[in-house]
Amino acid sequence: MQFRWPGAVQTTCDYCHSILVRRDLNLEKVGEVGDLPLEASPIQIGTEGVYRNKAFQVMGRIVYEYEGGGWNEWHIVFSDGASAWLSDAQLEYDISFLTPLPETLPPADQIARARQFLWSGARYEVTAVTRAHYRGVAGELPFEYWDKRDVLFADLRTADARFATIDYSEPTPLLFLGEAVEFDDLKLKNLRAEDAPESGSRVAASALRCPGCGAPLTISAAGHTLSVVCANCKSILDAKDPNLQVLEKFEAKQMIRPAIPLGTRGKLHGDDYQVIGFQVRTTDTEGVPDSWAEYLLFNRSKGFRYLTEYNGHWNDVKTIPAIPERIQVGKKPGAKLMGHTYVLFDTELATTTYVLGEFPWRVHVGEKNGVKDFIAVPRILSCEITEQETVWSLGEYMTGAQVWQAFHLPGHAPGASGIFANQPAPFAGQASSMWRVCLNLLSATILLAIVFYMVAGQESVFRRQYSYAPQSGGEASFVTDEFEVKGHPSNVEILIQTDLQNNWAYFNLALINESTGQGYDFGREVSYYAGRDSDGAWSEGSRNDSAIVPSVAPGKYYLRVEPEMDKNASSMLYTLEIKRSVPSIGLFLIAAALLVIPPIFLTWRAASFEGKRWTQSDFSERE
Amino acid sequence: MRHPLYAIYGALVLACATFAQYQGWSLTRVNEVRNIPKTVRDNPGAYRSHYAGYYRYFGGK
Repeated sequence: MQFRWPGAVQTTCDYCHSILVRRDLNLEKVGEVGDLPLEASPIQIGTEGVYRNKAFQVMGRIVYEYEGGGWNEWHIVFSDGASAWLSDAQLEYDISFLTPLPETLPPADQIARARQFLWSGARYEVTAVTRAHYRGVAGELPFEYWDKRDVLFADLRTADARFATIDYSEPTPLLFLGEAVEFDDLKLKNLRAEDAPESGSRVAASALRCPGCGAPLTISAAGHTLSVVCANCKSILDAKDPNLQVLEKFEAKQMIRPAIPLGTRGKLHGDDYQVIGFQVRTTDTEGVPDSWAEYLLFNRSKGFRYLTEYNGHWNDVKTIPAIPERIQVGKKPGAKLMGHTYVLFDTELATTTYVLGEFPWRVHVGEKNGVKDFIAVPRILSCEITEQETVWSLGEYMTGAQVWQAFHLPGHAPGASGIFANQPAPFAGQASSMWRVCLNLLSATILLAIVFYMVAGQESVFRRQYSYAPQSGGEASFVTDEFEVKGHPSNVEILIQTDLQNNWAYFNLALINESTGQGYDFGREVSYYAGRDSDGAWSEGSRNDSAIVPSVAPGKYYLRVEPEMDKNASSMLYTLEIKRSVPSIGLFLIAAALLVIPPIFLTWRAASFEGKRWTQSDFSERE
Repeated sequence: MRHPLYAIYGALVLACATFAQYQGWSLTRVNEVRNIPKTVRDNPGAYRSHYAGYYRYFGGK
């Protein structure tokens, strides 16, 4: 035997499976390893990778199994001789290092889900407490590890994907600190070939039959799959048992046909995924059941992800190796993750009511989980809680059409009905961008108004002062001298300035074209009253007034004027002035009003959509 | 550019406003009268204004 790592204390013979422990210069056989479970991990002893710019090699392995599955602890040794552990649980990876205890850790019987610890400035929360069964070892390990049975582990995570494990396999608990890592980031080489003899994926090729009814079965994620469901007789089978022992049978009121058939392959985020499982989960709100479907997708190196579907609304969901920070968003509870703020939408108790295909956990019809959904449109952050485990997942809204395209499904996706929690508003973001365009258009309107004010002629074409004495009797009406209005058709403003004091006057006016006989007939009232009372000085009305005559063609005009006053009123002096091409703010105000209508409408539609969305939440005002 | 239809709509609104301003259109309306006889020039009292007979009390406070 030859040790590849000088620090190794224990190794396993590849040929006879003997466990050998180094005692001074001798090797002592302390036992033998039984057959390890079919290998589903792409990692093997000898695999090389890089973590934080340091090369490492996989030297050994410890295999654990528990009620809900199993995982590998790969012993990795870095180029500088440092030793660490690469955990591989259902193709989700963490690297951790044995760390001196920062505090006395709680004994095994006091560790529980949701318990928090503050280490190195980070808040760690226990996400899972697992009583695992030691299944076997392989390769070189930094300590003796061969006589274990059941071992208790507590997994902890932080908001920034840091990871910790408290290992209760020793009298004094051991603490391992590290972080979640992505498979691709490790740049792994010398991976296990998919068709290697010990590879679990080979099982898929073999013909399997349901022991209950004899119907053929397929296991696509062999090695990872713990439960497989016979579509024919609804038996849930133990996929780890070579005989596919029937674990339970469930009754279904009706056969549910998944919208995406099991076995369908598609592409999400550039990676190939296969639909391997399907389950329906149901909530009960005041006796009204409400169900959604979950499709389990599998990729050999990327692991598992989910597609969820509710009334034609889809979400692409992946579990996350982090515990979002719990915050308060206004009056609502919220969560913060990777810079995004999520608001709690609803809290439900979900029951698994229908299953098909294969699952990497012990699937059980009737299983209940508490589910909390937080939204930051178009994302949804879900928290599933059991007594032993808290699992967070992050989803992003997809349309049925996107799902159909990704999985090359025939026909068209069924239309979505209603509004889903994280469904993007059809006008999301459009209102604000339209307001930006509107602002530009309003600026252009103001600029135009300024230009018109600057270039408008406002030429005075007539001005004359007159007097009127109602007590004198006689004909009050008269016509002015002729004056010329030039240029293109434009407006004309008639200004009236009087010396009225506590009196009124009315002017019947007619602007008459000398040559065509066309006239514009209009009247203006002018009144001005002022005085002083116990409140002080007051005034009402104005001595001056004006009228606009629109679109007056060029030509020679005169004004017929007929003033009226109270018969007993004293005389009045007044001036009539006529100006050509006077700018009018009214037209620009109308233009501005027309410009803001579309963004106001869009804003209203978006707000209305948000209102409808929240009527379905725990925070609905209806409740 | 986002919202091209709205941008076109906005441009049309501005074009119409510009044209209306150039033509001297106004929100105020006046009574247009055709074929006013030339005799009005010599006999202004013979013309009956549309607004003639105006009478109301204008009182102070």
